[in-house]
Amino acid sequence: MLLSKTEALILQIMSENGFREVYGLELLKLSNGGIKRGTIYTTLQRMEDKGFVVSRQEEKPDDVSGIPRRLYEITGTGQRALQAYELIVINTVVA
Amino acid sequence: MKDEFYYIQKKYRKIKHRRLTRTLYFLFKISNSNQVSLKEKIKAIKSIKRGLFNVGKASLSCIRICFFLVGLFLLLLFLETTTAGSSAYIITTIRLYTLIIIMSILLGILVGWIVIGILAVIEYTLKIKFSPNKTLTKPPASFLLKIALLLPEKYRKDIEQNISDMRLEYCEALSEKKICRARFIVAFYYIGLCWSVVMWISDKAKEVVGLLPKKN
Repeated sequence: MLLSKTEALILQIMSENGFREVYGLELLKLSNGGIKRGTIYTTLQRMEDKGFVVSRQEEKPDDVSGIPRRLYEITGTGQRALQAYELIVINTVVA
Repeated sequence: MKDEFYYIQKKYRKIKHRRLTRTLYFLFKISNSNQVSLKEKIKAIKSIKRGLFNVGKASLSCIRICFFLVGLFLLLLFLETTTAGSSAYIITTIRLYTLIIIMSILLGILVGWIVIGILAVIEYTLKIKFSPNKTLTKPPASFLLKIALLLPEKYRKDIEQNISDMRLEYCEALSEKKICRARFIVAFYYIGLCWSVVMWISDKAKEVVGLLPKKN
């Protein structure tokens, strides 16, 4: 399965943060401008289709209004894809 | 100040564009006063808007009448000085004046819209800046959120999450009293949403070609 640069960056951020659940805006802030606004959710949706991440809707308290956020978590396939991607990058740099 | 306002209102009742005169005078009076409520300031701006619209309509009528009179005068002059049989020239003149009149109407409407739009922005900014309870009357992208309900779930989720983030950042900027930043955030997110649409189209194209797995 192909892994794009943005997808690899998202997986990297997720793994650096201890494989915990993160939401889109948090990823955006952690990427330091590496990911653009607007493209993040499309990319995450694409990754979810590929099986690299899973998502669930955040449970919010009754007194809080607004649209509920989605939390994303890296899967085993995502971790393996990231390891493979990093290996390819290292080999390319060494070669 | 309130009594004075009503006195001015009464005094200028018989003037044709009384609303504009009254509100301009009122605004001049309140420009250095903090005692006048926001409601009254907004009322004054709304009145100016209506007044300007009246002035615009009146000036448009004047322009149209002028064109009509000049055209009529030229037509009469032409009929007096030329011989019969040159109907082509008359038709050309009539066409030209019709075009000028239509153009003047369109130009008037355009200028009116721009002026009214600018005043609406000022009114909205005043509402946000001086509102005592700091409650947003309408959060950004409300209309887009309604439209998103008509889309398939995949796209709707994307749009909803984007709007959620936009509102969060927007409110953060407003709480720091950075109104310009708040507006830029909305603009950036709209550009981002346009980019999302491009990505959806590219995904669909990849699905068709076979680069991405097809989804049910």
